[in-house]
Amino acid sequence: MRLKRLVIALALLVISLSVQAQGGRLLATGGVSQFEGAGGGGLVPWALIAGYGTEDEIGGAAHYTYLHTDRYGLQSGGVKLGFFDRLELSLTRQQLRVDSEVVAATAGALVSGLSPILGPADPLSASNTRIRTDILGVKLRLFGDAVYAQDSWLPQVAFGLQHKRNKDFDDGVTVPYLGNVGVPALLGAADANGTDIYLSATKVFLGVPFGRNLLLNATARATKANAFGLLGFGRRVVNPLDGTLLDEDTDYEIEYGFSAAMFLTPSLVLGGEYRTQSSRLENQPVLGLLGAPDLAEEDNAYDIFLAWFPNKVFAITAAYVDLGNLPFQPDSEAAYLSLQASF
Amino acid sequence: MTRTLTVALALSLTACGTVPTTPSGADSDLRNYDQTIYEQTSLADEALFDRLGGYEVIERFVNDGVDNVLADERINHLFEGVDEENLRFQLTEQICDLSGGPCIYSGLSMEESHFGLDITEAEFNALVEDFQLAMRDNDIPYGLENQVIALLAPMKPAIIRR
Repeated sequence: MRLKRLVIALALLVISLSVQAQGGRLLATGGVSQFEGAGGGGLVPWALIAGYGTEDEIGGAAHYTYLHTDRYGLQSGGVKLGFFDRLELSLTRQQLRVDSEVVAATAGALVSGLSPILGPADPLSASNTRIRTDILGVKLRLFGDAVYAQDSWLPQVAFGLQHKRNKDFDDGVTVPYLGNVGVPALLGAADANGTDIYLSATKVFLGVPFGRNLLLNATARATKANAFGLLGFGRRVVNPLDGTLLDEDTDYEIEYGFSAAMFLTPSLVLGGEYRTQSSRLENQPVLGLLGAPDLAEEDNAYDIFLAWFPNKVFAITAAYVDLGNLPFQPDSEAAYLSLQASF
Repeated sequence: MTRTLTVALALSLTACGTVPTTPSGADSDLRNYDQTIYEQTSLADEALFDRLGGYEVIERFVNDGVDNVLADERINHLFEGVDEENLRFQLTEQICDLSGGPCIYSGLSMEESHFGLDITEAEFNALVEDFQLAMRDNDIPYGLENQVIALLAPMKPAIIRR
């Protein structure tokens, strides 16, 4: 709660700075706000430093993003500062709303799987639940000039960290037999906290193709995250009845993100992104006993977005996002809207 | 010594002096870089100069760009005391030359013409924005505008913090 207030206070500060003064970089060259808070596209962080600050200036941005898909809604709000077009610090709060139908379905699966062993369950009134994640991001531009070095194919490259803390890892939802549990732990995640490490390479090709400006980005990420950390980190499957460890996987895996974005006009950008996921929670033996071993299987995600930069103060991004499988929702297609203020 | 002269986006403040030049390549003897990515990948038959519509079109948007710059409070202080007609002429010659037109820029190199001005990246970008607006006001197609900017962008290191 304290962090949420801090993010809101910082966001108001950034918005007030944004409407007063602008940094000296060119329109749209800070990108938009990726849903984990880094400057980038919607799904993938880019090597660009957020905001409009040049090498002599401090810039920044605040964002609010809402993604909706049937039984899930993800809010992301955050702030970031860019120091001298070199270092980006970001603070983001995510909140995933999980519909009561998902909770009821999970409880129903538990009851049908366990009642022959444990007897009838207490009646349950399922309600909506939420999973909150705080993300502290750091991005350091290492070398290269994405925009100006048009005589070179060398991209701009940045190194980044995203430290994530899942606030509802083992708390927040009441299910039959087990009492108060958290969705990530219930699905087999090992840890509430995790740190992603990534390298991003971004290049803007001015006047290519068809005279349009084209941005290409590739990001490699070492991660332990399940569903971006919303379902915790790593895998540790424990027999819920006797507490014995069935299996564990807490090693880093390398995942990839790719983005392409083209300026249709000076202020309108059309793009698409693709991001792979580890899917560590699939084939989970405890959930298998309940007849749903792949409840938390993750698919690779992609999006198609249109971002509008009417000026340097505001940007609006609308997107179609395909997240694939989510628990009890196998083909999750989402609508995405993001607002950004920057300076 | 073979010295590739760099050419201007910009503020050719004293660009009336003639510096000995040594041609460095077939494309242009006036740049501090070889080819932009768009030039390397271009399938266009005509030079950008011709696609823009020739010298008069360039002259027109350069004049509007200079008007924008001189009205731009972010950067117009950098042009106090500058020979305005010479500035317009040198910038037109530069873009004509860079875009493959029949001009040979004979002004100072970018390093020389911006020496001691300590121009910031923000000031450099302000000029880019003023010229983008000038091209739009002159109905230069967006694709050609981007290719003009692509020719000027690699000169940033030669212009700022001099």
